[in-house]
Amino acid sequence: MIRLHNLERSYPLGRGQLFYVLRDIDLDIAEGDFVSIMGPSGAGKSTLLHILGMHDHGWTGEYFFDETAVHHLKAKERATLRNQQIGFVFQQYHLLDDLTVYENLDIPLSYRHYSKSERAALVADALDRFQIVGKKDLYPRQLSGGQQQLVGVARAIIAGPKLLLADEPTGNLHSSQGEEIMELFRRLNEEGMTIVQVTHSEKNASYGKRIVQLRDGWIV
Amino acid sequence: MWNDIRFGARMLVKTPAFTIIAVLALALGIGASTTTFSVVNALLLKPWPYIQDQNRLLYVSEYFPKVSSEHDNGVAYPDYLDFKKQATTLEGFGTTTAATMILSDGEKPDRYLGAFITADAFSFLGVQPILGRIFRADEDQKGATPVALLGYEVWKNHFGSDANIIDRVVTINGKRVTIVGVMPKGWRFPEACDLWMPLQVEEKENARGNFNFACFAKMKRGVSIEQARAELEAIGTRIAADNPQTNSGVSVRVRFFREEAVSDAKTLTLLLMGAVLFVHLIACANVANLLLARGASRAREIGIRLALGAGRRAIIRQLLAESLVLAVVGSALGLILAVWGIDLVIRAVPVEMPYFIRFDFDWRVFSFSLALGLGSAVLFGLFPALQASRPQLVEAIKEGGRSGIGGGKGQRVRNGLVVAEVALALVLLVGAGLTLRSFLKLQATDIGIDPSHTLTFRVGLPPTQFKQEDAGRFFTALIPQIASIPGVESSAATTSLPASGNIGVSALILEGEAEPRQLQNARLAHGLAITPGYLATCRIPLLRGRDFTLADNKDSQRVVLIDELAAHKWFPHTDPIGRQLAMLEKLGEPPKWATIIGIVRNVVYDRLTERREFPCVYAAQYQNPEWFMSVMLRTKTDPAAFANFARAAVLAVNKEIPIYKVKTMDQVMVESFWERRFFGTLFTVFAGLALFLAAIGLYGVMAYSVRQRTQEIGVRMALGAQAGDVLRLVTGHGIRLVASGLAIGVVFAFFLTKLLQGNLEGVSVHDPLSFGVVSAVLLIVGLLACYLPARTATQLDPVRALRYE
Repeated sequence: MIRLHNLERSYPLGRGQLFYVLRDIDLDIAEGDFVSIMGPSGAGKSTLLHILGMHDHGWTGEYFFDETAVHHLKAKERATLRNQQIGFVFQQYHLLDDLTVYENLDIPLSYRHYSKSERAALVADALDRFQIVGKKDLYPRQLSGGQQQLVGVARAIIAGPKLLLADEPTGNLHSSQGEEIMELFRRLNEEGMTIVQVTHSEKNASYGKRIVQLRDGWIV
Repeated sequence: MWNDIRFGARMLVKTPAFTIIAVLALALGIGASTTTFSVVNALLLKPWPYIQDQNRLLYVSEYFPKVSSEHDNGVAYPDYLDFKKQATTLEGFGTTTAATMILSDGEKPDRYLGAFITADAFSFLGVQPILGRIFRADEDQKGATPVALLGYEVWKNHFGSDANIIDRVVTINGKRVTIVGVMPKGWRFPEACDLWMPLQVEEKENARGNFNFACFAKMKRGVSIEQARAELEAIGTRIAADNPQTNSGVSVRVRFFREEAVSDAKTLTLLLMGAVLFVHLIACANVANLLLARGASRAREIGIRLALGAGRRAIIRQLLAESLVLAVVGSALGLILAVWGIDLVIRAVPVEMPYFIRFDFDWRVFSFSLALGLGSAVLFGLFPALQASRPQLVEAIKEGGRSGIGGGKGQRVRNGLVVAEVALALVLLVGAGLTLRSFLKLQATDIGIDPSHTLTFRVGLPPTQFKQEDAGRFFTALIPQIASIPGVESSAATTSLPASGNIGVSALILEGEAEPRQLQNARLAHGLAITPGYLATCRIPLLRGRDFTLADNKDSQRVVLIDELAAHKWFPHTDPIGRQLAMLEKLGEPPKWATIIGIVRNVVYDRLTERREFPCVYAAQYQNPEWFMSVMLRTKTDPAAFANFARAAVLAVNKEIPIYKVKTMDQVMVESFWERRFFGTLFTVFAGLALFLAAIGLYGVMAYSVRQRTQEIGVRMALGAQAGDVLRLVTGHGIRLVASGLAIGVVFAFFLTKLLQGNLEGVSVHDPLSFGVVSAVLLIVGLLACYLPARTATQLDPVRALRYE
């Protein structure tokens, strides 16, 4: 599903020098895989995740997504591909404060030009599936951290992506809430969703099928 | 407090961009307000120079309510004498009439605007001369030795400040006159006079019914204007009872002298003051917005202060001290801008201002500027200080580990301020749009002549020096002389220039009609005298009959031309050509019949802002010569370049006669509505300023909002928002603010523009075009102000945005 070849990401340091965040990354991720990217702070984990999520465009090398050569796509084409195929879960949940749970779930659909009735049906499904129907009119600040991340996951998969990317999804949660989210990820993966997560936690990584270790930008 | 101010100043220096923007916004607001206040001060507040107890000074006039309740006629001389003799509530009653005075001692004759004035006037006005004495009470009696008072500038420029000028005999209007005093610098009573002579009036030449004297009076101490008015009205009623033919239906108008002097400009000036305070409010809203944003970014500093034990009051005091420093610096800069502003205002006035309108700064202007600055400091500083000083430590900590994005508690207030700014700007822009449209309509008025390529000047022979036949001969010789100047197409003279307002209203009768029993029932018309060639020079179409010729002189049968309105009104069913009419110069005297020989197109002689619907009768100058005329010359090239040739031509006919009021006809037209143009221009400048400030305010709020929402925008982009979605998100927010401001502004403008009623020509106060165009302009400017921050938002890197704190 994903093939990275000789992918590198660097930032200029001045006087023509470069600081490499990712070096010579070769990585294959099959459909239905559940990969955990681990490594110390500054290893390039989040950078790799954002490159996979097509938020970051400043890299070199080759990136194939379902045989589509992402490295040849223009920014707009990448955005379209991302919107069709990828969902994102953040450590800080990143729910929109001024929107209710219902509206937060509706947002990704509105950007994908679903009709009003389709959106309503999909949001209703998601609320039901994640058992948060009773919270649909609440604002994020009225939810616990676990509940907020639940909404965050629901929002990430509501548009039916093939790939779910998660950046420290339990980093802000206490252990029992974290376990619930990881169980949810496991279920989603069992249902066929490909998942790539960045985590510091061995325990969370154990929910996945394999681990990719990064150190100083290299896969080790 | 001093420590707070010192710390405040230090904080402001540390953030120069914020300080410069805030100070400039305040300086613009205070500068514009102070400039306008100087005008209000000059017109309404500042005491006039030299006049004692001016709050007891009255203006008195007579008018016919049946003819027009707005236009004063002046006071008839015999009526003046009755008022003066019978009034017990008054300490003094004077009258004056302006006149050209030609001082012919010296190398060339100098023409000044002088005033014949009752001898005791300066005494009860309380003015003292710097040299010599003022008039003695008996010096306005017929046969008294001719004396004169010099204005300071005449004394200085014409007589080289000669300290021995008193008792010197000079020639004024050909008469030997003794100088008895020199008036102080700046004294030009009643408006812009430089020489004064006692008013010696032949009552038989100024009979009742000739309402042509401007009167002023001074109430006795303790008397109210109502008492004085009641007494003068009672005297007026007695005069009417004794003289029904001339005074039936005549009313007496009594107002404070100052009120009368500034009545034309008072409403517009106060409206302008209101408008400029709106501009200042917008500037304050901008500064308040900046302070709110600054307060938010200083939350950590304030939080630490609060955690260290600072009381809320201390925090507010410190923040207000910063506002105070801003206000004082803004006031100082505003005052400097006001100095330039006043200079521009004075230059924008195309006519000579009355001597009592002085724009120089006094303690009132300084106090206003300082008070406005301090008041503004509280206005724009208090709420942000209250907001920033709220003890929100716990919440702040919670927000540090925020679960969501896009809160921004001050955002609502900032949004509200922008909505208010847009609403205020709309009101001002609509006001400016209306005044501008009105002025453009006035400018495009067809006054019935072709004003292009025409030079005009005033010239005349003082009646005290020359006989009527001399005046006839002078103009008979002058017009061909002018017409022979190379480049001049044609030339003529008229007693009244079109659109100048320098025209009287006369009573007349048509053939077969009896003289009216009462003046108020007489037919009225604008009457003027013209020389042959006037119609051609002005390009006034002759619709029927013939024009005047040189053969229409004092030896031939009297003839007149009338305009279309007269023909339509007086001869609706008959041909006016060959019919007769007579102007009633003096009631009781046998009418001098004149035959109508032609009908011309209507021409506007009133000022364009004071138009009256009177028919017009043109008399032939050479049949009954006038002493003072305006000469007009149509030129092939730039008319202004012909002034010196015209002056030379006049001196060639009579070397003692100067010319004055040299203007192109286009200038005459502009002066005809200069107040509207002046106030329209100021309104437009202030509205432009308001638009600029509102746009800056909107831009600031949108830019701040984008900064605050960086993370939110990043999330949205991560969730699939494309550039267009982000652009719509940000501009949508801005446009909602602008639309709210427009909606509120339109409602306010709908009511506030009613204040302009009476000051607009040909435009309704609810003119849909002005409302529509202004709203569209504001919307476009609002879109532009939103677009830049919105574009910045679309260019955000979502990875960075997601990490943004």
